[in-house]
Amino acid sequence: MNNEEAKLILQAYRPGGQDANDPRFREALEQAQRDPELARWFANEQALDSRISAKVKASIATPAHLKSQLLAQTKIIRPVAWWKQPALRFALAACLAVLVTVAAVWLNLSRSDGFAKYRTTMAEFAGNKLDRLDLMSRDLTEVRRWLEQKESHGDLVLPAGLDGRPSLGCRVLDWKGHKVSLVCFELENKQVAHLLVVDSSAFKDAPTDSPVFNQVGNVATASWSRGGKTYIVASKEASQTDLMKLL
Amino acid sequence: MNEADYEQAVATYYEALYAFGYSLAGNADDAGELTQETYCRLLTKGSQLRDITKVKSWLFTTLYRVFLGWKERRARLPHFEISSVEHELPVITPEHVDVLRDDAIRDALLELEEHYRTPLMLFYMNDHSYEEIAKILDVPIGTVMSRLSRAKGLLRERLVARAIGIETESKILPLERKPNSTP
Repeated sequence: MNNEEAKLILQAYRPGGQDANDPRFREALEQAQRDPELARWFANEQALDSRISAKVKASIATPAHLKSQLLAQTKIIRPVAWWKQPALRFALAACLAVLVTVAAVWLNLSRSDGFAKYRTTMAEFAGNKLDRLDLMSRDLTEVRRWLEQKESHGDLVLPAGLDGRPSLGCRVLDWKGHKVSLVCFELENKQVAHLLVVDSSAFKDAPTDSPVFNQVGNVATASWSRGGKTYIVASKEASQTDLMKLL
Repeated sequence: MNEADYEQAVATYYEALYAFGYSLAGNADDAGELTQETYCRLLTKGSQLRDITKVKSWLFTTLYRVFLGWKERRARLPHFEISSVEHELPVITPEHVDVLRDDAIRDALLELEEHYRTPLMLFYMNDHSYEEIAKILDVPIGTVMSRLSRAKGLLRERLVARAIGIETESKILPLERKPNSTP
């Protein structure tokens, strides 16, 4: 190995010394111990790398909100459960096909267009089954724009307590042919609130403009209508008292 | 992956991942989005990760693939053989680096072409070994070494130019600011 080859290898040697025991560097390091010129070059190289590394690290400031936002993702994106593993998906798909047929018949029999049914379904979904968002963004303007592009509810009116809070993202759902806009917001202490918006024409018994509070299983909800749209705020972590403060 | 493992992965790597995203995308918004999307995939596809000790490599590889997906780039990056590397690096001392502002060095690094910038950023910012860099970028080890060498040379050319500019400025400015002096 000549000095040029040794230099090429030693340029990949990290300044923190983590590579001291890597056999790939051993020969080049031994050569640097024997050759004073190569040793000087290597010392300068390490000093340079160390300084450049420190300055690059100092120059890129991580946004203050990023960590809390990433941790909040666990509230809206569920880890894949064991039964969703690829090996079992095929078997599950076959079972699901049978179940869907049975469920379709059952749903047809018990079909209800009522608001209560919608609230229960959406609260249960947002609180316990939401597995992904179509758009991840803390910028509500971007969320509105995206919803408009999807011909959903970009013009939704936020309740006072959610106005100005960072969003986590959104998704468009379907309720019997009506688009439902789901927007997630980050509250204090890693809590998450889901705002669901649908056209009031989807129901014969849409709520009035006075908020109604309900507990759906482990999910607290508040519902109201305004400007031809029906809104639900749902949260698994927040209490109904917390929801009242958001409206 | 359970919630505790996820939170540990966030706490340990999110800053380094953000910085890597920044080095790829060149701006804070995209860097944040790349980081979010990477952790989103950890939540939804983390079960593919059989060995939790490999989470660091998995996260950086995933972020890089997300970035490539964004660019919809299909063409393979050119590989440089060791024989094509320029061994003579520009002469620059640690003292030259000391006079430069942090963001001047970052900007010089961001000026490099992506296939040089990416391994160098992993080397400087995230303390990855050449083997980890090769795995993340899916290129041979020899290619990583040659790209690191060439990238360092290109970065130093830019740093020398900036350092000389500062030296020249510091020599000229006091003269210009002297009262009653004529140019």
